[in-house]
Amino acid sequence: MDLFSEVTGDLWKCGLTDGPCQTTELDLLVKDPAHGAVAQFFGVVRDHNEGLAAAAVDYDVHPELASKALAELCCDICAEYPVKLAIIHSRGIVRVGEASVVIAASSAHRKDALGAVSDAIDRLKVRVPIWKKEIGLDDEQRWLDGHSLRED
Amino acid sequence: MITVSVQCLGVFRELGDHFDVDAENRSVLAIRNAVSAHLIRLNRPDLDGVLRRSIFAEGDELLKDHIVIESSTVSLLPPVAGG
Repeated sequence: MDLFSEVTGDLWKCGLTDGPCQTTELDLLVKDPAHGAVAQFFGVVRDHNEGLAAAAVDYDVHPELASKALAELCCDICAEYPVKLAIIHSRGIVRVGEASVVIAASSAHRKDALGAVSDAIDRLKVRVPIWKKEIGLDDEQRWLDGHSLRED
Repeated sequence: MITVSVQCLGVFRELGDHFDVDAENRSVLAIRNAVSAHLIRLNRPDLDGVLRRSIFAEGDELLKDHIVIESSTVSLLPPVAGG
């Protein structure tokens, strides 16, 4: 997958790509002969939201801040779970049925890989500076609300 | 007064990629107040509401309101919605 931003740690890799995420061969990013479990999550654009039909989502990204937040998120997850972890997120147009975010984790046993993937997507949604503009079937566009990063 | 360039992200892109405001000083609070006045002048109370839940950044640093910026450019980050 072509990434326009990529950060790598000892146990993790994260990046940003233009357009939809590739959903094949993610397991190769977290491959480890000592790991008997690989868990993957694909966030896929669906054809409706809040009762409205959707054709695509246009993702806006602050590359510097998003890369930093993704790297911090990977560090946190790898400190809490004995896993190898990879997270890739899209920028720009992603159409219905295409993946906007992919996460893979491997671990010796399944619980850690499953937990790491679940926690990673939960935290990504509230910590990483990325925004969604939903595009309807009639090309009507609306920005979706999200989670404030303000602490003061 | 100092002129600060505000880079727009998310819903603030409805105002363009960036806009300038004149702030009383380099504190984030002063910039926030100047942006709020700018949004009211543009008759965008909806975005002024979003502003209250938004955070400013300089480079790759998120800024609390008491911080004083070094440059004259900040990014304006509305609530995030990745995934």
